[in-house]
Amino acid sequence: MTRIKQPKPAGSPVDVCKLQEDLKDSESRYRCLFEGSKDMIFITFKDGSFQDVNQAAVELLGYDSKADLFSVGSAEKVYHNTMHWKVFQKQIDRDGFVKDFEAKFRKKDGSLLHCLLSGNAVWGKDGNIIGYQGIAKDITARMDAIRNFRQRHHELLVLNSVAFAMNKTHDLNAVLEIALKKALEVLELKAGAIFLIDHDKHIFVLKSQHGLPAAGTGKSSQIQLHDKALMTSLLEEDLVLIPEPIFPPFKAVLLSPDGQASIELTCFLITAKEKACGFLALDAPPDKDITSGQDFHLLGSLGNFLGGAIENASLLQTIARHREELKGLTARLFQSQELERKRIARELHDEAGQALTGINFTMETIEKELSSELIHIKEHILDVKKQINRTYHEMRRISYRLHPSILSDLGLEPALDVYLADISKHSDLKIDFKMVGFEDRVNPEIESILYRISQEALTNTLKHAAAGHFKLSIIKSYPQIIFLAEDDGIGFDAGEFRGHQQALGLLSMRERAAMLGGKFTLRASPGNGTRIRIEIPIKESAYD
Amino acid sequence: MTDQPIKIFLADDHTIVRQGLAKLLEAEPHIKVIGEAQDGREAVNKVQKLNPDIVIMDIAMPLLNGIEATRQIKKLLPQTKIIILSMHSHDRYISELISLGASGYLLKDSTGVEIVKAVSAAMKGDVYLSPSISRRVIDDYLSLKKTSTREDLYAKLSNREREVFQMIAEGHSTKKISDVLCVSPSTVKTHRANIMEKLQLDNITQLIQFAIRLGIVDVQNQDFDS
Repeated sequence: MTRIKQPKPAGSPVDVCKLQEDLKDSESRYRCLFEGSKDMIFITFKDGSFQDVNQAAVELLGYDSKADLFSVGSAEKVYHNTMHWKVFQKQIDRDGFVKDFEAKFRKKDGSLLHCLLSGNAVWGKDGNIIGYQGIAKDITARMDAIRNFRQRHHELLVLNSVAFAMNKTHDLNAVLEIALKKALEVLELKAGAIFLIDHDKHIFVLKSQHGLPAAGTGKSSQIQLHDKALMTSLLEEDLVLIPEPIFPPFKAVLLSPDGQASIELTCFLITAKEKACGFLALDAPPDKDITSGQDFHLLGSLGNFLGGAIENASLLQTIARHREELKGLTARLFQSQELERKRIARELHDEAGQALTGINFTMETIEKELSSELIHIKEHILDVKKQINRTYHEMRRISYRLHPSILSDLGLEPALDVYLADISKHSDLKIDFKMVGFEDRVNPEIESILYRISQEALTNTLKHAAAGHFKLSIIKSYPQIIFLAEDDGIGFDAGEFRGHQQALGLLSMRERAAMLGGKFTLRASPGNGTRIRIEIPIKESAYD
Repeated sequence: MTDQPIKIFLADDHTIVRQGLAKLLEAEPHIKVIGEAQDGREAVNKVQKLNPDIVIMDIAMPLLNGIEATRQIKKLLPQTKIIILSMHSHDRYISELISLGASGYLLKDSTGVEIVKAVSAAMKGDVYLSPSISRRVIDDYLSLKKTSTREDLYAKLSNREREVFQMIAEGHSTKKISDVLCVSPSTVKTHRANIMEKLQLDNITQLIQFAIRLGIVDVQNQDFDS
């Protein structure tokens, strides 16, 4: 009982009567508070034996009556961990009270009651502690909610780490690896695997595994579903699933490579667009049910989530493959165009050109050997020679434009020099050109691609830029060649160059640069000219 | 000069050209065509055996082009005169071949008279150029007389020095450069000192300015005329 101060000795019988009345009143108020409380209230002696408890204590602890509870003997026995009783005692002995002390009580049926406990000492007349009293609030539900919340939090963490992995990498294997690892972690399981369905080969392929001694990844595995009909439909057909949030879990057996040992796994289907693409297979101990409740939901969501990731990865793979193919085709197109131009140029130059030269010399010999009476034919011969000359020059011009032989004969610098001098002769554009740091010629492929890129850059400037000045620099730094083409023209919005009329030229420059593993940077803005920078890696030793 | 005819060798991959030329030259009493080749390699081999006075050589030939053939023949037989007969009229070809020691450069639209003139000039030790190209060669020569610039000095840097040069210009610290290149900071400092010396620069500011002017460092809003 609380230490209610005894009233002073009464002065008169009326007073005593009144006091007794008051006392009774107060007593009943406290009793009402005590018994009516939904929180557990208890009073014990110093040794822990019960002095009094309220009805709530009896009910919360699941006993039939106070007597039933008292028969336990000591409050200590009701604690799940007797240590907690001792701590409770010690703190009160030291401080006189304890507040919000978390403890678990064992109910009569053995289940646990999670409580928040506050208490204080009961003092004897001599000023010594003669007992303890306390009030305990049942927070089992709150703790459940917190655990639930934590579980949700974990699930979110799992899903988020998978999402993060998906964002960070396009590597499906890495995503699956992380998903499996996180799922095992949050479910507190030791082993599991992710299988994907290869619909072409009709096999399950182990993509990622943890803690399973049986298998190596990437191989078709000895996994058998208990449900043979399900197994067949997953493997053989493109099973269309009934739209439901989560496909029911199923069981499978994984055989070790030698076929001796086997592990039973609980499986969750991975689905995308209402089609099965694989499953999570987890090794859950018999006492752990992951096919219901929170775990089931987590695994179900993970399955849906991974389905998206697998779908994404396969799309990305397809795109990447197509891009590579396109890149290869573009490169081959450029290469064959270059070869073809070179061939035609050479043939024009060599075959037709030389033939004309030969004919010219022959005509000259004829002219010399002509007897004087055939003098009138000389006029015609002169005409023919003139025609030969014209044809010869025209052909040389065509041949040069197709492929300047000076590029292969003398190299990039003379070839560009001649080309730029020619352009500058026919336009008002001021052209600056320098090549710095080249002592020897670089390989012919780089020469020919840089020549074409220079042509494209200048052509773009001439056609679109309305520029007064064009600067072209090619510098041999290390470990890259730096190509720089800039003009002071009207520029354009580089962010939107795809729709721009210069786009084709720029794209072709970029693709050509890509053939050499080069990095293409375009800098342009309306009114501020255009600047193209390309860095091409060179494979030379640092010490030449 | 003796009465010995001038021995001429023709190198051209086109039979029709060789035939035309041979006919033209054989019409001259003091000239004798002693051999022919249809590619550069054959020319170098045969010239060594036949030892002609003059080789008339085309540039565009299979296996070995006329530029390389000229280089090799002048190295093996410095006395042998070489007259280039080419379709290429670009001055870069002409200066390249003259610097290799060719005694004449004729375009393929030259007349027989010009070819004979070139042969006589070569025999006297002169250099003969087609009239249409002489002017350009002189211009080219004049433009080459410029003094050597810092850009020419840049060519003297080793690859490693170029790498260090670019990284310094991009603002990387000695520590960073040494980390990236996996060399010690003192090696980087040595490279830097060598670079400054080779480029005749006094300080890092000058180095950065030079790198920007070259275009090595990607600077936004760079003054166009810098």
